[in-house]
Amino acid sequence: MKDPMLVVKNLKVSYKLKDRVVRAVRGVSFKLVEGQSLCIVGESGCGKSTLGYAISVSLPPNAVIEEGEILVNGVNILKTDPVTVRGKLVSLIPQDVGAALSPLNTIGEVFADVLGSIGGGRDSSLKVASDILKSLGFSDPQRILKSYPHELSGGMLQRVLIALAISLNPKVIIADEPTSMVDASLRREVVDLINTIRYNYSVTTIIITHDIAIAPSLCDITAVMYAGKIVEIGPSKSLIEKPLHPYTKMLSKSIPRIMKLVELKPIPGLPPDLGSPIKGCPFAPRCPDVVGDLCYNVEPEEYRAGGRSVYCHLYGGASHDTISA
Amino acid sequence: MTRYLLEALNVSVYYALKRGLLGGAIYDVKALDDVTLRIEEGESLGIVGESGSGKSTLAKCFAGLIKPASGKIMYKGRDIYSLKGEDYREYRRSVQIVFQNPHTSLNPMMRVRDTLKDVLKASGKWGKDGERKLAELMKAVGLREDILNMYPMELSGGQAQRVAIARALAVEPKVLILDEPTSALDVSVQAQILELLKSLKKTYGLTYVFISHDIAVVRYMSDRIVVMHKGKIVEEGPSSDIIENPKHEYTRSLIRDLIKLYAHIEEIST
Repeated sequence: MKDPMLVVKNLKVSYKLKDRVVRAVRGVSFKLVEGQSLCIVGESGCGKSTLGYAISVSLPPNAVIEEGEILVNGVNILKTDPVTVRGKLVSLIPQDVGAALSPLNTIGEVFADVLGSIGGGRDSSLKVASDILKSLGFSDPQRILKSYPHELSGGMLQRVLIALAISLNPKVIIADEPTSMVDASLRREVVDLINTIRYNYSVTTIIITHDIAIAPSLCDITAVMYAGKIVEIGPSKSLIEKPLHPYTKMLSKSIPRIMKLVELKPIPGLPPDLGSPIKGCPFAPRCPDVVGDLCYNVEPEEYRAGGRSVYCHLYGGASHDTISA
Repeated sequence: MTRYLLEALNVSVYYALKRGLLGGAIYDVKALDDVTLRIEEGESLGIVGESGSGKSTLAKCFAGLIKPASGKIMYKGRDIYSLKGEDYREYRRSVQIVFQNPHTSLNPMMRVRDTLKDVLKASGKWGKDGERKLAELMKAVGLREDILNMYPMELSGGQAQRVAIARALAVEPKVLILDEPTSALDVSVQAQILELLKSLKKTYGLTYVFISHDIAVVRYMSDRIVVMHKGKIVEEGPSSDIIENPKHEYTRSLIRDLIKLYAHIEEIST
């Protein structure tokens, strides 16, 4: 087994608000080796974006890392100057591509700025930029470099941002909801693009998305997050085909299929308020398979089987064999 | 009297991209190019297409928000631009539109209660029983009554979209034009809103024009599907025919792309 490229150890992140503290990430751990890719799936407010911001050292000022470690290639990035981490070790591809770039600068100026930070001159920077843009399928990179963001379509901007993210050869790339605000037809293009950089640059990728169905076409591993914790993690394909956690099962039933008309079953209720303490399993109040008081009082531990981990009392006790992932 | 509730007859719309010295368009884009579409009372029509296909422009034409450069929009067999007085008001009440992003389509300075009250007052439906009407609306869209006192900013995306639907329902419309109503929402919230829309259609006997770029969602919501591409209708027919036996290459590519991306979830038995 190779040394892990990214290690997240018991990470806890809170937001300090005026009158209370919201615990957005409540203890998340995982490891990825070089070139591996992870999808983090969950509903709004489950902490998936906060986790992504923490790993890319771009948390908002009112966020506090309470506990935990993030190691990239052996470097603890929480104890390192962010300037040496951002873009160089970890890059973030933001969700809102339209708002991500300064409207007053050409794409070329942005590249020169970014590549200049590692000491590249303007001309050599533009040459590098043009090569990257070409490798991502732009037939006329010179025109793109001379363009302003508003002159490009959403799909092109998405590609430019991916090019920027890989321009300093980071070890880890995080994409926040890369497929959610795009058209179904463009979605396919974005997926292909992310897979291209994964293989061509052998970069470790993390994709944050609410769309569990897209996970197998993007990532080797999928983690399902609920109320600030991972509730299930394992190889994407088997996780989708045979979900174990009741929450994962219900998520996949809320997606409309194309070829078969299957009735959608929305998950009743709302996720818990992360500003108040949570007792027991956070999903218990919405869960159809509650096994009694245990779920409301005791936080479920990790149960492992076939490369999968699931945090649910259904799989507790003596019956470990019931998990056959 | 025609059996169609809404019709678009040979409708074209142009957007000027560049204007000359005297304001005349020197270069424009055909957003809609000679489109004819008829909607029957009580049906659920789905319109699918990519960004720029003209589907939202067509929705706005039906809602009377964009006047076509040529062609006619008919409501109950009469040109909406020839309607006067009470006839015109009846059309505007009967055809309501729900937009994609509820946080930008609701007034951020108004509490939910005032947003709904305004609409009821403007349509002459506010009276002594006003408060009861507000409570009924909230119940219909599955929201707690205390949400009436909140501002849109305090609501989640799903809650805000329910308020937008309540606002459309307040004037007792016949047709709801739903322009990508779930595209800005999580899949789990999307499922809740789709189920809500299905049950509202049954309860109030509504006619739906459901617009989305996601052909799976459109299929789930519609009896009949219209596929749009570059301002034209390229294919239309009953939903199951369009999905199982697509004739146009563009429709086929829409379905193929989605199947490829979602192969694993498609295969799961139910």
